[in-house]
Amino acid sequence: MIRALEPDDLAPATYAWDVHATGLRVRVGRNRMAVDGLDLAFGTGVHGLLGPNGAGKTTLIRALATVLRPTGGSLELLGTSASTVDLRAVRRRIGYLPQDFGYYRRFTVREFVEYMAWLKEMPGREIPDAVQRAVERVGLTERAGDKLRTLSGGMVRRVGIAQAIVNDPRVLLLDEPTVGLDPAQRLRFREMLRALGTDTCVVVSTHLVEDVAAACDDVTLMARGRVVFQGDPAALAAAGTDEHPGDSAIERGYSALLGPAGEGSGW
Amino acid sequence: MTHASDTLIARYVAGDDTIHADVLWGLEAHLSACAPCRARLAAVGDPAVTGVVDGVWESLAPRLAPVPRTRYSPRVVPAVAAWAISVVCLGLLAVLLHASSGGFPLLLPLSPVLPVLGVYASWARGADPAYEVVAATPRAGLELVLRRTLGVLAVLVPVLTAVGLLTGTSLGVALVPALAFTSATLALGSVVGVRRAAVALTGVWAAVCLAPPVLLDGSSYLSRPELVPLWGAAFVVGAVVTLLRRDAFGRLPFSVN
Repeated sequence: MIRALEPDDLAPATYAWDVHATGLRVRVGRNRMAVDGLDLAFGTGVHGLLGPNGAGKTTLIRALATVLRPTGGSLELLGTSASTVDLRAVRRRIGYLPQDFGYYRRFTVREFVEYMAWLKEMPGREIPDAVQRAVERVGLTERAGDKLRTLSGGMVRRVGIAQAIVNDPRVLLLDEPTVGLDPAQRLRFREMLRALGTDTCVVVSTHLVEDVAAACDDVTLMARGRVVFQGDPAALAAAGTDEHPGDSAIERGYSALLGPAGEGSGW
Repeated sequence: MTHASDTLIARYVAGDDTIHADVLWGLEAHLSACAPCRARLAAVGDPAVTGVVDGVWESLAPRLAPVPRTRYSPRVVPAVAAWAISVVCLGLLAVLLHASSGGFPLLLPLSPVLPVLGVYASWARGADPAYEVVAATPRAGLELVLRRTLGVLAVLVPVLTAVGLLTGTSLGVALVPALAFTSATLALGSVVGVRRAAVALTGVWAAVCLAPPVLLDGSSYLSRPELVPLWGAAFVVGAVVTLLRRDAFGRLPFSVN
């Protein structure tokens, strides 16, 4: 895939990690610390965020997307502190798919992705080609002229992925991207993740253990706002024994590491 | 100029290597200069050649097709359209009522809350379905809020001006309170979120309008020209607070979960 190189791409990086958090704390509402003392260091590759509902995955991704301000600790994105006021330069190089991906029903696929490219301050003459590439990449070329309200849930999810990658982001944040995709689409999505992970720092949050096993280079397991485990999928699988609940090695590792917390609050 | 014979062209297409080098050179020089002969060359269908050529065209075609351009570049939030239509309708209604009964134009007491609703429709979480993806982009923040607010004012100001002129109300009375409420929405919105700011300001305005002194005195209470400088001051204060709090617009409101 050919694209023009920006000065930012050629400049030597002055930071060691694309995403670097130390002791990160993010408050949600008046007094709940959804992320409470978290250390992370992500570089190029696909990084899975795994954990039960309410573990703080979405809050963490929102903080990484710079829409929530860190309450404490430090968070550096591409070498810039996420607490600074002017985040424009950093945001231009981030792609973000939120968990509840809202969209304009009357826009066509192409209009919506184009609008997002404009919001990401891409140069006007590059926008049509970049939009075409992004739409082709998620396999929606034939539906590009259709209004979003005519698309199925899985297709809307793919539009969400297209808008996230339209600016060739350096850091790509995907919150539950496989929700609503059918099995075949999930396979294709994992393939795309692996391709993106060769030159991008991809952070994927999911509660589907098999997504992590199939597509991630490393896994961060979260519970109650903290990191419980960090390592590659094989290490996660190795943590479980036959006595732990789960249908696959990774699921058993997941339950072993989370302990009683993993079995959920009353479910 | 003599043209190449059909036989020669056929032999050339078939790749006949018994053609003399000087004839071949002359033929190619002629073909590059002569469109009719090129057309005859193209008409000679050697399956071995046309197969390859067609194959190449087929594989190139998708990449050569021009990328379709959209008819327009959407720049406003859909909810604003509904708001704009209602403002225009209210304007028409106000002028018609004034013409038929001669009373105080209905729109003017409403004028301060109209931009509040407009700003709500164009920015608030809940009114803008794509709020979260938009908030994470570099253009989000003060620039985008101001663009959308200007869009709201671009509809509202002409309507209020027209109503003011047609009903003989001074422009200061018609416009300045609306502008003051616009900047107040943004200023308060930067602290508690635009949705809460809109609800609060609409509530305050309803309370003021329904308060006994105003009800007794009719809407004329609001049209006092001596209040216009106060409204103007409120506008400036709101604008300054918005500017100082501009960082807030690029983030999700504090209360999200």
